[in-house]
Amino acid sequence: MSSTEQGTSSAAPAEPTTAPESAAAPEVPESFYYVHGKDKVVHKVSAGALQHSALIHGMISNLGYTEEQAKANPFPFENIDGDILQMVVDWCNQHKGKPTPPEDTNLPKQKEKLFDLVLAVNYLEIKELLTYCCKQVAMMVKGKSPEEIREIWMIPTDAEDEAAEKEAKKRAGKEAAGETAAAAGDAK
Amino acid sequence: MKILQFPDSIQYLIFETMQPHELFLMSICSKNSKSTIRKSKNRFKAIRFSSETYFTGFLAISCYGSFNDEQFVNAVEWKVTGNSRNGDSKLTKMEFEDGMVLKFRLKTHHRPDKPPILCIEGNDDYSSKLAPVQLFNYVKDLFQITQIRELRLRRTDFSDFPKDLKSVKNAIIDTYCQYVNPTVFERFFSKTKVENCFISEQSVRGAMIEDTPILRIPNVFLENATWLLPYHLWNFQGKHAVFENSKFIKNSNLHRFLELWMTGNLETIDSVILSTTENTWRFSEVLNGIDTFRWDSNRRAKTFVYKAAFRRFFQKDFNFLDCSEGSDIKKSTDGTLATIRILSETRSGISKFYFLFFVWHQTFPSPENYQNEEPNYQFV
Repeated sequence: MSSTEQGTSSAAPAEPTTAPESAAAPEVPESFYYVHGKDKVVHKVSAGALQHSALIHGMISNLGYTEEQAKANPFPFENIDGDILQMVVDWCNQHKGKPTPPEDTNLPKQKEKLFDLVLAVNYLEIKELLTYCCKQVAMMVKGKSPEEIREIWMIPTDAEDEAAEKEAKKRAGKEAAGETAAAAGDAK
Repeated sequence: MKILQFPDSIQYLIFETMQPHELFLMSICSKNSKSTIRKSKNRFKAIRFSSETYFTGFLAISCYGSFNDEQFVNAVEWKVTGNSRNGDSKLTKMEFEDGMVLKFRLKTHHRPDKPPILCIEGNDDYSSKLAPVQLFNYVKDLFQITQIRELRLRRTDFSDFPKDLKSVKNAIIDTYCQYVNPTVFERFFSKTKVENCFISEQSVRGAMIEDTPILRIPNVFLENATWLLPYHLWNFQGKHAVFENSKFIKNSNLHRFLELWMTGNLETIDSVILSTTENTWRFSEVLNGIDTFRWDSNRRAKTFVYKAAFRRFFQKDFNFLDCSEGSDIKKSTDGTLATIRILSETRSGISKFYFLFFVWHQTFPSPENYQNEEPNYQFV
């Protein structure tokens, strides 16, 4: 469980409210870190929960931040949507210090959300969650026909691929022509 | 973000949890999806092609190089349904590289653990003969499979078979009891090497060439070896052979076979079993003038350990491996023992003679489990 609050990237984050920790709290005070996504909402997460992420774990392992320093320097993940980061933080908290179950049924059913979660989890290097997510993605097409698979996974048809390729070439050509013209203007 | 734009590592994790038939169906979505699967780290190693009739068949693939049935999973199962509308899904068109288009609908399999069946539309030769071969090539290419472990075919014509099919581990060919021209057979074997085991119910009408490649296959089981001539028997270079229902092998030919073995020829052989209903084989004639010994429990085991790859296919009511009553002979060059048995059974007034020849490369062979890459199941 984590609580969140609205913050800004320029301003120091306000005091986040913390959810009550479990009754069996460790005797040694646990250290906390702060992360935010695209929406700048800051999430307070324990170091134990963050251990799931190889990326963040690697970042914090040598920092030795005090509580104040950690609060003042939340890790920015500008490439991850706020709601997706919230899901990741929730998952890390739920599975803090516990063996991961063979299946996770709490993953989003909406394909766009799931795809975004896959990319975020891959970026944050959370191996177990990535495995669950990929299984969930694969489950989406169980028993489906090629046409349904195409629709569910947003696979473009050959014609759409060709059109996109043509468009990309056209755009690249225009950009190259623009750059040449700009270079010629600079030379004058 | 679309799935085809995911990093390779993520795509691999997704594909890893998908069944082969799901990947196959995904590959049909577009050229791009096919190429994505094709380029992904491949986990499949071996393929088995089975076409039990002209109208049905399946392609099964395995992540392993072994032959256990459990390890093979169906990637495609098809049924040619002609022009009748059959199947639950919309009509799907699949275009092959040569421009041929296959039209099919998917039908849920009656067994929930099996992939949906491709109900191929069309009554032409393409649908029944070429389409399965093209599917075979497609799947082989999609999963980058190099080992063709098994071909199971029921057909009398192999002319449509992939030209690049250079070798296959096991081949099982059945022809609905129809006779086949030997040239059709020879052409198949001149193109495709069967590395381990060949099983056939094939009846060939006509003479096979003297050095037919069949005689170089390590394990050969022919249910209708009516074409077998003495020189074929004398030229066998494999390990295990069963030639059932031979017509032209006489007592003197078996005698010559034993002489050849005793003088150091036919050294690859482990076992040869022949049967006939046309001739009468007699010990006295087959072993005429050859020194024989009765079984001595100090010299060799009582029971022969049969390691033929086709042993599941060759099942008899009698214990043909008990060699306690057989006659032993000795190879003059190295003293290797072999046991000869001649048995007969009569059914419906027809007597069938068996000639059994077992070589004791190990005099006390261990009956422990062994793996001989054998095909595991028979035609239904």
